[in-house]
Amino acid sequence: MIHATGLEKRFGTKVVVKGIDLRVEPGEVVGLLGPNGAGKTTTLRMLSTTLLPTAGKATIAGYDVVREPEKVRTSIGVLPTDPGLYGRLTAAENLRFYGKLNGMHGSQLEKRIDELLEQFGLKEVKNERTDTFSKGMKQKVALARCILHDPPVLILDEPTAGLDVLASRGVIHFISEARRQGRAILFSSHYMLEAERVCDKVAIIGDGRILASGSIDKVCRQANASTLEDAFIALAYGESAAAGVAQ
Amino acid sequence: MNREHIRAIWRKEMLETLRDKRTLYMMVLLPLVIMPLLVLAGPVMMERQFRQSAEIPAKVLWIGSEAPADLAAMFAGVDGIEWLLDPGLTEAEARERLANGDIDAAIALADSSSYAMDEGTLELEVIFDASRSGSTRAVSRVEALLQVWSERITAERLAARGLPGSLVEPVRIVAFHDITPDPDGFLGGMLLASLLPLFGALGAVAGGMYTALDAGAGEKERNSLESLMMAPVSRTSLVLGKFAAIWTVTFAAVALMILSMTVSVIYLLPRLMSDAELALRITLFDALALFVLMGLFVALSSAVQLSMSVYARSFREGQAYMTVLTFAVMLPGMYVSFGGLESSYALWTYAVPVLNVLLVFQETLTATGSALHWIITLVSLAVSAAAALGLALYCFKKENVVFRA
Repeated sequence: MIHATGLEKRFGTKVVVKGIDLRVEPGEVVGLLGPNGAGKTTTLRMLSTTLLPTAGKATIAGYDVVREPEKVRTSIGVLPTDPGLYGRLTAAENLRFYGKLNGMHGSQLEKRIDELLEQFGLKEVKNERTDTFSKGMKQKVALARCILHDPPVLILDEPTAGLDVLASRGVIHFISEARRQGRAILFSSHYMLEAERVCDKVAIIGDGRILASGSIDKVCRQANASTLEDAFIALAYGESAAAGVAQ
Repeated sequence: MNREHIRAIWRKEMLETLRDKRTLYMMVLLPLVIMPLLVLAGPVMMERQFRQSAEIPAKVLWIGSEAPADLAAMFAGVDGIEWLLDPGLTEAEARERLANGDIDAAIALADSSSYAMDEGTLELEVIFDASRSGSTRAVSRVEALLQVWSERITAERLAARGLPGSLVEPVRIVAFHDITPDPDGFLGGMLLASLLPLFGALGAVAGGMYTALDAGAGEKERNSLESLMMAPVSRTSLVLGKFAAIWTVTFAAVALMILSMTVSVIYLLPRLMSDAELALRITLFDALALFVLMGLFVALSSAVQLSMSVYARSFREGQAYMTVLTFAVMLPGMYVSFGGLESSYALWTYAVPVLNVLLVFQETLTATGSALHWIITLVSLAVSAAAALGLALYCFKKENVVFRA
């Protein structure tokens, strides 16, 4: 579903992503884990076609991100770091707008909106403006927007950042459910515990490079660590940092 | 390009605009209430002030010596002047009373005066305060009365000598014949021509400013632009949808502005002023042509504002760009409105966007337009609006502009 090879991104002379290889198959959750500034968001933006790769190749659902960006966008549901809702529109209007951009209309669209708002517990506030919503409620609307057009691929950039425990749990449940439905899910995070709970595979990224990838056990073995968090610290910050944390 | 996408984006932008009080203020309140008030308040207040001051008699004091009896009688019997006699008062004392505001002017016989009923000249000195409107008004009334008195004395002197009045009046205008075919219509057209281009140009920038700011900088600031860019919409559809919304709002504001100003100047102003009569006589074709002209101008301003908005890092930065744009439009607007009603311009000026709109607009209202001016203007506007739209599209395609934060 998501295949990236040697993906690279330069901004001027600065190379932010340095030849990343990634694979996410249907029904699989891959966590892209890295510290702030490691290149996670830039990688996700290249895969979701808002940034053009400087080098390398990536396809999503068989479509090339450079040559067929619009086809790629019909196959993905993206949750950026910020929900980016239209505050002066209601929850239903936000979803209706994106539904129309995804080629949905009429009763099919309205039925889908109702179904998703019910699923996310937002039916009561369907016709309320989203600028009155809490952060967790906004995130739920954004997640509903993500799967509105039933895409086979989900790209989620730090989906639990800034959410309270209950809202985070809802997001994790959403990811698990999406995997059960056979979607390929790539999500970035720097919360290791939630990655351990939900990911089939992880890729640890540091300074624009994949430092380790594979199943959680494999990454832990590679870093000679007992937990994903230890492996992450050892790989992303170095052995000395890991030792410092242990002391 | 996808029509459904363009319509969806247009609808979303319009919905957001109609729920934003700032835009409604710019789109409705400004053209329908504020601008007409600005236009009507000045002349109406001035006329009221003029009328009030005309009703107050000017206090004119005669000092220094006895005034000729017939002159004193004439002044005493005239409305609008309160004639005060105090021959014993010195000039210095009169100046003091004038400075205190007790009187509006003082008249004294000059030392060189050699007046008698049948010969000589009554030489007078008038003391007044030019910084007070009441005093300058008193002097004007005194001058007018003295002119009447002078003409009467001249006629009496000539009659006493058996000479005709024409001896001292080699020329006299007996009538003025105005050949303006429709004076009320011409005046109405001239008055509108001095106001509408400037206000119309301002409306073309201010009317849809907040919709434009929201469509680019606002989306960036709310982080909604990234989600929108990830939707399966071509950049062309995205830009056209946003452009169409800005155009709709701006054109509505400009149309409201033109209609409200026309109603204010042509119908309300004469009714508020005492006896002024104004009319606007333009053909339906001219009116439609002016709306097409403004439609193209609004297309240009909408595309420029959209480019500026998406280039801006934030709403505030966008507002700064829009302020510069407003002044850029106001300068030629003021020049054309206040400086060039009867000027003729080189042909190339009709190829300069903004300036050409103002000139053609004004020429049409004063019935002095030419087909060539119209053609150059419309072609120039269409080309520049297309170029500006191309620039907006370029901005939305450049990742270093979209992610410029």
